[in-house]
Amino acid sequence: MASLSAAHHLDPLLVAGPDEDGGQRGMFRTAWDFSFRMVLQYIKNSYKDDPFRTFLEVCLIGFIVWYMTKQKYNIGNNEIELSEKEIDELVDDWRPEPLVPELTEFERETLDKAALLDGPNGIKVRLASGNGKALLNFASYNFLGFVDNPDFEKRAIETLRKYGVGSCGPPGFYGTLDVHMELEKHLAAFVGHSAAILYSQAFTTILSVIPCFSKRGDIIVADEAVNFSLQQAIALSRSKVYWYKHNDMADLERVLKD
Amino acid sequence: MGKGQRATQAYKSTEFIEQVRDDEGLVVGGSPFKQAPMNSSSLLQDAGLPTKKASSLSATPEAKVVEKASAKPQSELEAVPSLILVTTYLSFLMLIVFAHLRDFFGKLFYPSNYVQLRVQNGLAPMVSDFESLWTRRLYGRIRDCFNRPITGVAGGHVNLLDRVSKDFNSTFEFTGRVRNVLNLASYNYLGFAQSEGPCADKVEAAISAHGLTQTSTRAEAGRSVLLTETEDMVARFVGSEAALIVSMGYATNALNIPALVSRGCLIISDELNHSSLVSGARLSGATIRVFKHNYAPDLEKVLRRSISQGQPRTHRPWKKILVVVEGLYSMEGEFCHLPEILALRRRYGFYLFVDEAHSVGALGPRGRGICDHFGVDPREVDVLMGTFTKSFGAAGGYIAGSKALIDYLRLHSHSAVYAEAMSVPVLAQVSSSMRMIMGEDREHALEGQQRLDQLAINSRYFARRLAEMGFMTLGHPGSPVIPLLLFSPAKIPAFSRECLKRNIAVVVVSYPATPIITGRVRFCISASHTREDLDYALEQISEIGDLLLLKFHQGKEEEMKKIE
Repeated sequence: MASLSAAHHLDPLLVAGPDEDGGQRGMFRTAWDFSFRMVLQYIKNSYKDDPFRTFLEVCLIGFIVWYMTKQKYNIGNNEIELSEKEIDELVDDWRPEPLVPELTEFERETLDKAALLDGPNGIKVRLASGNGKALLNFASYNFLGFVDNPDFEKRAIETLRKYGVGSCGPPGFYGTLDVHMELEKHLAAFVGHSAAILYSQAFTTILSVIPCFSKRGDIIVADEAVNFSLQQAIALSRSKVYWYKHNDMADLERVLKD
Repeated sequence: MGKGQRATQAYKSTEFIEQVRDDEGLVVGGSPFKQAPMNSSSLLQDAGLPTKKASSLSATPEAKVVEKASAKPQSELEAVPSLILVTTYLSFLMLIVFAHLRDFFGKLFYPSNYVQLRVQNGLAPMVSDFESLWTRRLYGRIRDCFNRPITGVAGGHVNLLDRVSKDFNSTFEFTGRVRNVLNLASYNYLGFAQSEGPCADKVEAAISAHGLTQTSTRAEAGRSVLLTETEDMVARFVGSEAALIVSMGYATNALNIPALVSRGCLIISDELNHSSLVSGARLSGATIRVFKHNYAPDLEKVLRRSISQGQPRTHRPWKKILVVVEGLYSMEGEFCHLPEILALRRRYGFYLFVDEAHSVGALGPRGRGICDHFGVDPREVDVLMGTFTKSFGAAGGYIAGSKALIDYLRLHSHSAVYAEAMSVPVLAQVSSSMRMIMGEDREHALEGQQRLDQLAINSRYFARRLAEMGFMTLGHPGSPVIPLLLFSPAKIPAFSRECLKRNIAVVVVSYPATPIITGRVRFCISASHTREDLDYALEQISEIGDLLLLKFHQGKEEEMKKIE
């Protein structure tokens, strides 16, 4: 628009006649002069209307020049172009590692010598390989001695006769039994909180809960010696983790201060 | 299921009571497994079955190489009228706009309701308000369709505890009423969810003999004779050399995949794999690439590109490549194209992991899963994984493979070293139901095969009738899981509540378990459904379909026949 209005105040040079040389060269020089003069007129007019606008346009042009000349680095594909025949050769050449490595001597012995129990796993156990002798069990977790209890077995059989064995579905799809909800209420009361949620396996409980709340961008501070399930959960959550020395409160304070 | 003396006696009777079946092979009247098994070698040679039906039934046991080889992906979704898609997008748009508006005005006028989303006492909120928008505003509206509590056995019929909500699904109260509804929702494919019968008797005997739990991890003091015997049986059932049992199905994937692959390896998994497989892959630290759902040419393309380019940025060769697929995709009802993938395996040399959570026990003429269905040797698949929740009425999972693989996993897998061994009652249930399916149980030798055939008949009948009515269903014929597409977010809870009014329990799924526009209802057929059950369900579903305008394909029956 500015250029059109500029046409009203034409510079006499713009409509100059043909040059003394005449012909093509004359036209060329006129065209170059023409565009140069147009740009000059444009700048003159825009400055006249609003100096800030010119400043902005100069900044914009400067930014475009800077961006185009900036060095860009390619984080995406650094894929090599290959022909189909080369791909076939590479595919034929590729040899994967075995799916699992061979067991070492020590591992093989550990596996073979693992205890094989025959019968209930209580305070006294019998080995299948032994001669039926009852051995004292210092290997299983049975802190309160509930494992051998005949009352619990009776109760379990009653529950079996009412509910069957499996729940045939996750809790979201008709797998929530009334006994599940009762247990959750009792657990919450036992621990002293208002609600509880039940999982089928101890290891995956932590694996499921921590990534639910702590995601990329959150921070976890953990003891170095936490159990394996917690370590896996922290790795899965992709949060930033700070470790402090096992049971060392001074170290914890140092980590928190940092 | 009836629990009286009379039912138990009828079960233990040695006289062969003839089961009443109609001409389609469906059981009429009463539960099919309360009577003793028939004295015939195969269900299919029943007198009175016309030959046409017999041939279509005998098509089931035939091992068919893939029905639609290399079908182009998403062939069925293109048949949806565009009006439906447009209205679905608009519905979601409206819901999201309303959700944001409510949040905005709610924070302005009722700040006390949003206290848990603000910084309080210097502590940041546990979840930000944007992250929890879906849970609070959209899922919260339909929360009464999920987590419905039941009591008793989740068999062909289930007892639902009625509940009402007075504050828009924030909290629920029990009315005290217990309703017996038809169960099209539980994964009870072979009908083993019973509290009576031979399996329950064996479980009781095992509890008395072996106690309740192992109280130890397998690597420490948890290895018992019962466990090793069951593992051997699982290996025999599936057709591989050895097996490892894990106490939880989800954990079988999440804790064993990290033992197989690590950093420097590549995992190529199907787009629509289950979240346990995704969890396991993320935990392992390997690079993950996806290929289009169930489309072998895309898998080949990804393989060629990955093997030729090597690891990203360094271009070193991959240490191992593990391709992870599922036998039966439960949200789509489709089988994976196993023969094609095995052909690719022979050419490219990757390791194959098949998750048969839904297909073991339910597919194949002998019930051995997807390998049986396609007639391939199970030893060609490197790692076969499955769960006992669905077809065996128990809980937990297994991994089966070569002896070297299983020995390594016994020592190095997280589930074997850190997680407790499976408990005794569940092991006994697995062992007895598997024995019954294999036909090794002398007293009930034919019942296992009967259940398998019944499941195949029931699922084909149901799928065929739904397609005839004009509904848009997904899935391959013969799959016991039949998803029916609903699309619109309003129809999802509407379908569930209408079904509940008519005493049918169904499962509806929407985002994030499925892509956002394809909300669906998923029917799980069981061998314990009788003809009356299925007909009643079909009648009610047809009514609801008319009410909610779900019959997209009415009048296009010829096209539907082609898909079958």
